[in-house]
Amino acid sequence: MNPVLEIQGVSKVYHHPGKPPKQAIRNISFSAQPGEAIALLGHNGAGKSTLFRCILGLHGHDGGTIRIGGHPPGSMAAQALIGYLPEKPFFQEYLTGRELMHFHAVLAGVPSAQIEARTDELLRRVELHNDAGKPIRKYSKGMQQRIGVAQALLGDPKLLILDEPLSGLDPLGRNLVRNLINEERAKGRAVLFSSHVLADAERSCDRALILVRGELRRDISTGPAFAGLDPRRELVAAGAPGLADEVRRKGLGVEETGGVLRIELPGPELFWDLKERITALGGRVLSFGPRRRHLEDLYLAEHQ
Amino acid sequence: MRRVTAIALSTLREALRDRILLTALLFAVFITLSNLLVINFTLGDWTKMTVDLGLAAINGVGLFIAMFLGSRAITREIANHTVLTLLARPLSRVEYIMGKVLGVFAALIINMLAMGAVLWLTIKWVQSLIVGTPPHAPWIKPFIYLGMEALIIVSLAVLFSVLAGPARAVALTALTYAMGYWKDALLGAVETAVPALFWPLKVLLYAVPDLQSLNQTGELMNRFDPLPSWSGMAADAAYSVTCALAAVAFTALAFRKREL
Repeated sequence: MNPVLEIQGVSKVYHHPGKPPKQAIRNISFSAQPGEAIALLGHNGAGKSTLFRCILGLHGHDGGTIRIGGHPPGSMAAQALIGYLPEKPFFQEYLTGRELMHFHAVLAGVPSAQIEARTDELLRRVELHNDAGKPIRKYSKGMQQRIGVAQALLGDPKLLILDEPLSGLDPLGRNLVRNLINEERAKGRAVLFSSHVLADAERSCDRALILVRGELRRDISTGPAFAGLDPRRELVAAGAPGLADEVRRKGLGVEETGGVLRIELPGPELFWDLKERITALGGRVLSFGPRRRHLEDLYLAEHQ
Repeated sequence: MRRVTAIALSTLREALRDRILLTALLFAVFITLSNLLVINFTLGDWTKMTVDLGLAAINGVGLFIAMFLGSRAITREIANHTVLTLLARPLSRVEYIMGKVLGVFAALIINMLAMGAVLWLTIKWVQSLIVGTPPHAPWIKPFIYLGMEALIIVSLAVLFSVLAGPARAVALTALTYAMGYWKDALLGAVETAVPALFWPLKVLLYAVPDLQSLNQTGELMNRFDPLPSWSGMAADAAYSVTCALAAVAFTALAFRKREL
């Protein structure tokens, strides 16, 4: 299958008069297949938005190649394949939600006869159909984010680029946008999104790319094998007084909540010794298994 | 063309909401109506005088609006980041710029038509008040020439805003307007005062639109030359469109590599 997005060795340096050049991204390479959702993770200033703008042709890049469906960034053919939500969805605030959708539908090349139906469908999907007649300036931040996601979907794009799609949303809104990303992925669209909410990102992506100071440090598949790759184990026990201190003295990680201990083991080997000790202290083992691995662990490890 | 029209309509709508437009319109109405006071103390052809003063007001106000709206059309969209979602669409930068120029021009034309309507009503009023006033004054053709001039000014303001930012764009557009409007007078003055600068200035002025030839509003009262024929006007309209297209082309070149 041909990738929708191919990025090879892309770098970007900003030159501002009177200031030293700033390397925003360096030698980034990855590709996105149809139906794949990729989360781009990194702290503020890591280069996520710069990378998005290079893909969109809004910024030039200094080295490497970018191809969208085989077309160079910024070309009409490439733009026709992309749906984009910027980090802060700034829109003409005097337009109503429906007017904004109509305006962007024309720009996205939606045939005139289909604009109304497509607008209705998308407004319904982001649950704004009842507020479509309101000016955008009266929308809450979450509503503006949702209309931003809806307009990104207008041109039936093959590649969705969503810069912080979950920011400013309440839990229901986050759930709605997460589901939308998953649905679009299931339809065969490639989705590239950035997020600071790592738990949400983890639930919506197939791969996570961790950017640190403009460099791509990790390219992690978050598929079913993701949790199993971690050799560490977690033992949950209760009713064993003094065990927490003993475990800490051995250098193991432990969390204690209401008499329940969560002990992190480097592997399965220590389990039997610990079980014996718990039993001797009058406690019991509640569970033992692979420690659930989270994107957050890897993210934090890359930033330490 | 569909995309250019969409950008133009959006720009028109945004421009019509701008307070500058309303303020300028009210100012032009005030100036035109205040003519009625002036002509009470004046001898001569009152209709022509009303036309002269009215067209001068429309010209000045139109120029002001063209410079301010033109210089802010793109820069405001960059500052508000609304340009990001637009240029992420299959929309070329040339289409975007053309849409912006056409949108501002359309707003200006609507404004000028409103001011023209006020002028027309004022002329009719003067004619009804003063017995013996000639039935008409040749003001429609000069009025159309104001539109041609406005198209050039808008496209220049957009070009300069992309090159130098909105504030400097207003100054540069005003300077270019002055150079184009008083071309001969400027050359004459330089030839007398600093002869060494005559040829460099003459070469420079070739790059400046000849607004002098589009000026048909001044001195209607004392005018001896006939106004241009309709075919002459068509040629002048083609000239102003060519100037505007050249400005759009230069804007597109400057905007092509602009990082947003």
